[in-house]
Order: sequence, then structure tokens, then C-alpha cells
Amino acid sequence: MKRKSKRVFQMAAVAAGMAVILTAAFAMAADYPRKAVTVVVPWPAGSATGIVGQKIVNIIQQNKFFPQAMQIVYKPGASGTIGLAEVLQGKPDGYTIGYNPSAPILVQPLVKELPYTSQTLTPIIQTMQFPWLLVVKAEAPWKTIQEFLDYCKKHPGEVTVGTAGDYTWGHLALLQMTQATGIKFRHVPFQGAAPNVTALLGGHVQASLVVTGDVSAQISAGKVRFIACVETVRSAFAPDTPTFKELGYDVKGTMHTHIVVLPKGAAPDVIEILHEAFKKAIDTNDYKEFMKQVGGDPGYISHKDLPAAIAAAVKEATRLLEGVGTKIRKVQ
Amino acid sequence: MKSVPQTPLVLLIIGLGFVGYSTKYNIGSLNNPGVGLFPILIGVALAGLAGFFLVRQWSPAPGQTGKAPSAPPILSGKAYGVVATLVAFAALHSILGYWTSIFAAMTALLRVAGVPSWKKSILGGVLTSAVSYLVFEYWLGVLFPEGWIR
Amino acid sequence: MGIIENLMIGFGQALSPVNLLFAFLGVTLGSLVGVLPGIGPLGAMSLLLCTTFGMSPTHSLILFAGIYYGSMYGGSTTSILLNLPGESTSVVTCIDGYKMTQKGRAGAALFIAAAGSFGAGTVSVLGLMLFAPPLAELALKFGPPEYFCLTTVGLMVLPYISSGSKVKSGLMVLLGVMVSTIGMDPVTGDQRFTFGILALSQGIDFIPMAMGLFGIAEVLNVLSQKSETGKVHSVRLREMLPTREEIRRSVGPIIRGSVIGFFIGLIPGPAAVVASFTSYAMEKRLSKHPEEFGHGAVEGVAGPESANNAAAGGAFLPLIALGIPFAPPMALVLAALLIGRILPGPTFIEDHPQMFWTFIGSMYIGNVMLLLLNLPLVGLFVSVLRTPIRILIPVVAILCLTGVYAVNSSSIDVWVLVLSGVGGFILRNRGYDLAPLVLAVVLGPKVELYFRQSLFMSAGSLAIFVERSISLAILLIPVVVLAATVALHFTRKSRAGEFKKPRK
Repeated sequence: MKRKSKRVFQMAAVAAGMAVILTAAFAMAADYPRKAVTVVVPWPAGSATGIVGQKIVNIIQQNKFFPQAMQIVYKPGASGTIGLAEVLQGKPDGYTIGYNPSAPILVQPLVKELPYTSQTLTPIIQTMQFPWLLVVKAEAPWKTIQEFLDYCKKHPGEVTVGTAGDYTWGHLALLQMTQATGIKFRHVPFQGAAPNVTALLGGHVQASLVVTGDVSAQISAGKVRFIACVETVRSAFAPDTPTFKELGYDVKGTMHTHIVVLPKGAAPDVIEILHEAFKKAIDTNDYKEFMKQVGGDPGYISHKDLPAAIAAAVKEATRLLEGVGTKIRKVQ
Repeated sequence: MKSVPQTPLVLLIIGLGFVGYSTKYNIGSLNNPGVGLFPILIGVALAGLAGFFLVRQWSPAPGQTGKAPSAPPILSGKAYGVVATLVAFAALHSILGYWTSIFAAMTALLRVAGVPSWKKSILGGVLTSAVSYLVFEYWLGVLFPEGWIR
Repeated sequence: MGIIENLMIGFGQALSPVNLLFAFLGVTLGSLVGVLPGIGPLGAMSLLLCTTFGMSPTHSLILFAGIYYGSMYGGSTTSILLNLPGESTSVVTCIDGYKMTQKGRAGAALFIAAAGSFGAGTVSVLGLMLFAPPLAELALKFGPPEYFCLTTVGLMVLPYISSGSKVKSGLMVLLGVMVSTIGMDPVTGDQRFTFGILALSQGIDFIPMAMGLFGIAEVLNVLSQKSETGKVHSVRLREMLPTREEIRRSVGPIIRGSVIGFFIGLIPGPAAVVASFTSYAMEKRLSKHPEEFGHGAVEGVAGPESANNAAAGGAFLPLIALGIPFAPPMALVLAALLIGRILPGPTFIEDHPQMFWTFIGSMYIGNVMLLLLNLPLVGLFVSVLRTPIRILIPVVAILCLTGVYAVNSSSIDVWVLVLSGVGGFILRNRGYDLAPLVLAVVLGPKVELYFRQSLFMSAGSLAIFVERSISLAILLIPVVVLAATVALHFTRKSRAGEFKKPRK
């Protein structure tokens, strides 16, 4: 009798122990979020990413889409890689997340040695998309993209096109143009969008690759014109501007977007909760209005579909960069 | 015997080292600069100018005022104390947490700078740490490393 | 509508209680961050950006503008009193400002700095008001080749602001440029000299370095002096005000500094910094007592302080007239406006005349506020100097340690601070001037950037620098000055002439 009760006792103890552990684990996971979450934006506060990130977090806070407080921290540097690296080297507990443009995630690891790659993170949601357009000064002699391309064919390697920097999406868009049309352009990289637009206005470059937000003021003032869209679909902000694809050139488009990320290995319900919060925010009218202000197209992609989208974009970027002889690092 | 001016010598070495290291990078040409071109030019200029300076010191031109033959000792005891404190701070602040380190640093500095009693120094340290915390972290909202406090 | 009428309306609006409040808030905050070493207007604006959601854009504009030019006022305070520049723009003020403090003229220096800043503020408001669109068009004509010539000439001017040996200062300039190459290459972003440390890929930041070279080095310097009575002296009221002579000598520099500063502010990049040392070099050239520079010449404070304030005003012009931010603080102003659903651009003045003129009126009022705020505080600031050394020095050191982290939240910066402090102390002891070093760190990356961009534009042809008229004109400046110098010192084989051989 004694032995049996001892056995029962042991089993009960084990069961109780397991129950405690399971409850604790469950409680910890189900307890997310237990405290405030830090959103790291790896760009300065006044940048496009900074403003949009701030806006989304504001919307989330105001409407209480997320049960705890969300706080933004700006960690600019090294084209967005420093802040991102910090986030991705932390714990995947969901208390430190990153709000990034896609270039540091997708393109930079291909050309730089970084402590992360596009495979070592958990994407949560894509919030916004920026189409790339080719602009020229209003007084430029080319009225259509065809005229422009014909001119460039006649003067190969002479026509200067400005971008916001090497290895930015603008640069990749230019590479797409080059590969698709077979025309050589003269690439002039600037440090960011503002110098790029300034150079265009001053006539120091003949055309520029920009996103709509860079030039909205100039477009309304009639100082510059969109001449083509380097994407597969037209942009809502330039409905009359033809895309390269329409013209018969094979371009895949860019993936200049904002993505929320966590380090690899986050728990599924953490991902779900964060995803829900951000999704609700980008569905609000407030956000939609704001997007128009900064020139972004809606670009929602869920965490389920993002890995595939990211992989495809990385593949395309690799192809483009290898095409001009850049050494690509393996992104495994 | 004129003493060798140390600084230009150091700079000469740095300049040459810079040039040497820059050759690892793609230099390109003047018309198509690579990553390493600018550093090499600067390194050459620095080494060149430092070398010129050294030669001039050695040339027997009259009225050359070099450094005084025996340069006075650079750091006094107090200054060493400050340097030690600062270096310790730089090395340890992320481990110990910023505010703890500030407290330690301030206490040490006050003592080094001449505050006679330990009590007052510690008090000063606590006060400074607390005020800085309030101003920077609470009011201005800047985040500092937590260290082991967290 | 005539300008005067618009101005009247603008003033009327700017004097409304809410706008006055925002202006006051802005300039006070700006002065505060200017005085605090490390955190600057950029930091303050970043922190406040989230509060602008929900504010009317006029208010945000007034607030941020106040912070920006307020910080120019405040930055000179620590430079003069403690040899601690809070901003790159205040480095030059340290040179003569601190010397004036050591001669007991701290109050006068602060006074002149405030007066100069006020004069500059007025000039830049006038400039903005009257010349915004045409000046903006002029600014656009400057492209990479022009910027390259400007920054290179700037680097060549740097050794001239120091009072010691030109060769030594030249070494400092080159060292500074070398330090600035650490980090990302400005064009491709490739890492240089970072030895695999990711935090270094940002490069050596200017502010920690300046705080170390000036602040920490000064701390070490003071402690190394054998005599320990320190800087304690009781300051009488009369000593706090500038003498008639000092005022007289300041008028010219203030006017020249303001005009020069405003125009330089139109150019992108580190305009205020360039403005401050250009003014210094100019005043030194024009002065009847050039040997005083570096030892407490009041012109060395009046000129640069006016120039940097004017450049701050001038920096608004491309934003207002073109909608393009030329400096990082302007990008934040732009962001604040965007959040308020206003898009500044070439038609900003036409589309939002009320906002523009209220802004103008408020800028002027803000400048008046700053003058009224700062002048009485001169006495307070000077009395800070009465603190015994053993307390003041640790406080300065701790201010540096906290302030440096507030800039970038980077631990590397702390090391930069400490190492520059020790290095700066040793260099100063050996007679090397530190201002050229630190200013070269600011200019260096630009020289390379603009050089390579120009070559991209010309597909490798170096001729681009002489084909363009503005660029050629800028390049000719040192040639002309060189010719004049050689002609003047015909008998003396000027070392300056040897040094100034144009470098590729």
C-alpha cells in the first residue's frame, strides 16, 4: 500500500510540476506584452522613415491598438545598418523591434559585412511602398520617356542621372533601366534625396531617380516633371506617367518599403500581436491621408508572405549588382 | 644637442602607416578615384609635411625656436588621476551602467581635484548622478546604458 | 501687397500670445541645449518632433526656428567661459573668447557675442524677407564642383586662423582630414580603417572629439598648473560690460560677419561652421592688430558669433524658398512642417503668405527675446566662474561625459572623448593649435565627397573645375591672395607661400 501511494504521490508531483511549468510558460507567452515596447528607427528623426514610423506609433498609441506603450528611439548611422544591427542582435522577445526601410535589410548585407542578413530576422509586416520615378526639370527638352531614351542612345554614357546614393533602391532602379534598355547612363550618387533634388534643380544632373515624396513640392510648383516610372505598375501619385514595363522593357521594379522586424526566433503569438497592431494602424484613414502627404503607396504585406517577397527582391538585387561586377556576399 | 621634436615624428609615422594601410583599398586613379585614393594623398601630405618640419628643426638656420630643450613633464599627479578616471569610465560604463559610473567618476574627480573629504565627494557624486539622470533621461528622454542594474 | 504691409501683418500675428509663447519656449530651449555641451538643436528638435503631431505648423515652425537660432546664442556661452564648444559652430569662438575670459573680460565677451548674434539675426531676417527667391536661385547654381572648391579653399584657410606656426597648424589640418576618413567612404559606403568594429563605421563624430580636444584637455590643463588659486575673481559690474573701445572694434566684424554668414548659410553642408572661421580669418586679415588674435581680440568673438547666427538664418532660405533642407536641423524643420500637412516648396511663400510673414515676424521677435534673455544672464554666467576649481572642473568633466552620450547614444563616442582629451592636452602642451584640427574633421569628408561627385558628373575629366565659371572664380581666390601676399612680403621668403602650393 505504501509503495503504491508513493508512486501516486510521485506522479502527482510530476504532474503538478509540469502544470506549473506549463502555466508559467504559457503565462509568460500569453503575458506579452507585459511592458513597454521600444521601436528602433535606424534613421534620423526628420527622415521619411522617422516621420512615418512616428506617425504609425502615434496612431497605435492613440487608438490603443497595442496594450502597452510604444516608444520610438532613433539610432541613425551607416545607412541604417547600425540601429538595425542592434535590434537584431537583441533578444527576440518582442520588446525591441525595428522599423526600417528595406534597403538595409535587403541590399546592404549583399555588399557589406554585417552582423545580420535578410535571413536572420523575423519580418512582421510591410507598411508602405515607395515607387521610383525618373524626373527631369520642367524646361528639359524631352517631353516623353521615349525622347529621353533616344537621346541617351545617341549619347551613350553622357547623360547624368542622380540618385540618393550607391546601393540605394534608386541606384538599383538605374541598374534596372540600364539592363532593360541596354543604354549606358552616367550615374552620379548623392548623399540622400535632398542633394539629389537640389542638383537636378540646379542643372548639375540631367535627370534624377526619386520617390514621390522627394519632389512633391517641386512637382506642384511645376519645376520638375515625372517622365517614367521604374516599376511594374503605375504610381497613384503619377497616374499619367508610364511605367517601363508598359513600354515593353522587362523591369521587375524595386522593393523600397518599410518593414517592421524582430530578431530571428520570435514566438508566433508575439508576431501575431505586433502584426495586428500595425495592421490596424495602417488601415486607419488617418494613416491613409498621411501616406498621401509623404508620397507613399499602400504596400501591405503580412508576415506570412514577406519572407517570399524578401527572397525574391534579394534575388533581383543580386542579379542587378552582379551584372555590373559588384562582389556579392552570400546571404544564407 | 637639440631634442627631436616628438610630435612631428609621431605624425610622420602615422602618415606613413596610413599610406601603407591605404594600399589595401582600391586606389583607382585621379580620374576615377577609388576608396583608397584620398587617404593615400592625405597620408603622403602628412608624412611629407612632418618630414619637412623635422628637417627644418635640424637645419642650422639661426633664430630657429624649437621646443625648449627639456620639455616640462606633461601630466601632473592630479591630471593622471583624471585621465585614469576617464579611461576607467570609458571602459566600464556599459557594464556598470551609466549612472553608477557617473557617480563613481564624479566622486573620484572631486577627490582628485582637491575636495578634502571622502564624504563630500560621495555626496557630490550622488547629487551629480541624480541631477544628470533627471535632466537627461527623465526630462530629455535620452536613453543610457543600464548595465547590471536592469 | 507691399512688403511693409505684409511685415506688419506678420508682426501682428507673431505678437499673439500663443505665438509669443512658442517663440519663447523655442529660444529658451535652444539656449539651454546650446549651453549644454553635447546635445544640440538637432537633438532637441528630434526629441520634440513627436510633440509636433497635432500642433499647427505655424507653431512648430516658430518653435523649431527658435530652438535653432537660440542654440547659436547659447553655444557661445560655454565656449567663452569654459573653452568647451557645444556645437561645431562655437569652436572658433573658443579661441579668443576663452582668452578674454582668462584676461578677466568674460562678461564683455558674452555681451559682445550676444549683441553680435542679435545683429546677425536681424540681418538674416531682412535677407530672408527681401531676397528669398532670387537668392535661392543663386544657391542652386552651386553644384559639387563649386562645393569642392569652396571646401578646399576652406581647408587651406584653416592654418591662417591660428596664431602659431603655420606648418604646425597645417599638420593639424592634415591630421584632422585623416581622422575624418575613418568610417564609411562618403560615396560608396565602404568601410575604411574601421578594423571590423561596426560602431566605428560611423566614423569619428565631431562633437565628442571637440568636447575632448577643448573641454577635457582644458580640464587636464587647469589641473596641471602648479598655482592653484584658480579662476576665482570677483567681477565688478563695470568689468562685465564691454569698454567703449571694445564696442567700437566690434561693430565692423559684426556687420561683416552677418553678411558673410548669411550668404554662406545658403550653401548646403556645414555652413555655420564654415561661416564662423571664414569670418575669423577675414577679421584677422583686416585687423590693425592681427597679433592680438588668439590672445583675446574682441573681433575674434564678434565676427564668428555673428557669422554663425547669420548662417543659421540663411539656412532657412533654401527650405522656405525651395523646400529643400540644406542642413540636418532644417530637415527636422521640414519634418515638423510635413507633420503639420504643409509642404514647403518653391510656392510656399505664395501659398502660405500668412505663415511666412508670421514666421519672419516671429524670428525677429525671437532674436529680441534672446537678447533680453542673455544680457542679464551674463552676470549669472560669469559668476559660474567663481566656483572653486575643485568643483567646477569635475562638473565640466561630467557634463562632457553625459553630454557626449546624449548625442548619438554610442559608447565609442565616450572613448573618442577621452582619447581626444588626452591627445588634445598633449598637443596643446607642445604648441599645436587644436581649432584647425577639429574644423578639418568637419570639412575633410566634404572635400572628398565633392571631388568624387564632380568626377562622376564629368566622367573623370578634371577640367570640370575650371570649365564652370563659379568654380573657377572660387579657385582663383587663393591664387589672388597668394599673389598679394608674395607681393607684400617680397623680401621675406614666406613659409606661408611655400605651404600654399595648390595640392591636387
